Amino acid sequence: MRYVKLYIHFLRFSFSKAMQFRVDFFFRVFMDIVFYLVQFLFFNVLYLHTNTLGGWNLEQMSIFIAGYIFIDALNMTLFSTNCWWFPFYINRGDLDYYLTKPVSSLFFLSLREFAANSFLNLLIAIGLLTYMLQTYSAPLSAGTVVIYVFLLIVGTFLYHLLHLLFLLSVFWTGSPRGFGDVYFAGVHVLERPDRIFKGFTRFVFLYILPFSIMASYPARFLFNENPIEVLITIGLITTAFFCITLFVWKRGLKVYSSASS
Amino acid sequence: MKIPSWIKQVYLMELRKIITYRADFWVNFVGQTIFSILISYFLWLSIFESNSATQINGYTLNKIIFYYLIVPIVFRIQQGETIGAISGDIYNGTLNKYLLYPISFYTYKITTYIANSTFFFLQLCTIALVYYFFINTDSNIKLSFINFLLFSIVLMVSSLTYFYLNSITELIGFWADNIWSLGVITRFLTRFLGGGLIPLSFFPIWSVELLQFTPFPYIVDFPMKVFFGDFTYVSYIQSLIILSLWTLLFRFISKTVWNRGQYQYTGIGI
Repeated sequence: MRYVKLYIHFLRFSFSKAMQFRVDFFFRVFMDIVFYLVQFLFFNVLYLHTNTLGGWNLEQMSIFIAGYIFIDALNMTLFSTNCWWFPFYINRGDLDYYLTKPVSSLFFLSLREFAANSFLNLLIAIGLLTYMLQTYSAPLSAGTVVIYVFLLIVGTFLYHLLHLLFLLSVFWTGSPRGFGDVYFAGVHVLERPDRIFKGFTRFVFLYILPFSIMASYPARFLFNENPIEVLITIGLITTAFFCITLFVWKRGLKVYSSASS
Repeated sequence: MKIPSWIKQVYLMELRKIITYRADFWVNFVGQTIFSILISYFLWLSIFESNSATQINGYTLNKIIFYYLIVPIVFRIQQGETIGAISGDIYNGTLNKYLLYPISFYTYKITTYIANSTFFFLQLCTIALVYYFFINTDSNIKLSFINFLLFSIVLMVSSLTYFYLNSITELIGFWADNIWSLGVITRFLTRFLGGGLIPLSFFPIWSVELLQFTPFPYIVDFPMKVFFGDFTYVSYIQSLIILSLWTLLFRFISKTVWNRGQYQYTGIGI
């Protein structure tokens, strides 16, 4: 309950802050609309040269795209701004302020800033996903759709955990952004259907850097492709990465030497 | 013409700044390259396999992998650390120092921009050589010294084009706060409409014809064609002239906005 109250305070502060920068608010909305448009156009151009990609036709691919757009929007709204500041807090020693709070510092750092300006994009993403699901030609039960959306939310959480792992390297390197740039290069894996990857690469993107789990696996559940295996894999991988992130965070705190570390 | 010594100093200082975190620099470089190769390889392998084709729209699988290897570095050369490079100074009020320096603001920013590009250009040379000599198995891909020289010239001009194009969006910071998203939009559009995400020859013909009226194909598609030697000397000169005209236009707009924007600047940051 304490955490819920705290989060409500975070929301209030974030909205009043966003309203101070109104132009930025609308530019950001426009930016994400351009991003969404480019994603759909990209695959539409590819499907001019093929009928299926990773076993999916254009209709299924459109749902997959709407799915990862939803993950991106949810991440931008809840976590992205916080992740951006993360390395700065460590390098400038600002982490002290969070470590002394009587709440989980990782919770505080991950959720302190709610990107109110991305919230509108989240609504657009939800609208897109709803439209794609409604116009899908095969029948989808309500239960399947609810679980699919839940899996996308879990995918967003996994996305955040993996991002944190790349950023936590700052504890040891002391660099401005850690390995954040590598992470953003890897994020494009999430935007491709998992079944295009084969062999060892596929193994890596499923179990070591599980980008392929985040959006592809929920889509596979929706399309009824080995749903039980999909659910078990998502559950196990997310739990494992949650534990690994906590472990690395604790190790990182041990080497953290406060101001200008 | 003698280059003023302060330009050399700014250039060297920027280079030193870039290599301060060497481990980061190389990990990011290697990581981005590996991801780029893997994603493009498997995506296009899937398309080539579904078509049972060895060549689509003039591209073999090998050539397209090479394309996706080079194109992100071309972006890094052109786009460097441009987002926030000017608007950040306006927002924080740190533009004051540039206004007080007895040097041109644009020359200073272009110098730091070139320092960033130098590093990425070295990355490009390394990757191109390694791929061409050790990995490439496609005998149709032929790199030559002359083509690489012509490619470098186009890259230089297109980097300036992008610098001025981006500076226009950055200078909107005089009127609006926190406008980094405009820089991101410019990047998205340049990448997609220039052929950075998919080579333009895969686009529908009508859209390619339409895009010729925009600067985007000249910023991305044109350098890539020169890199692979897919051009004639006449088309090279024509495209270079058009690219230069776009550069001059963006430079003019950028300078006009800069001159007007200074009257809005309070110098205390926001």
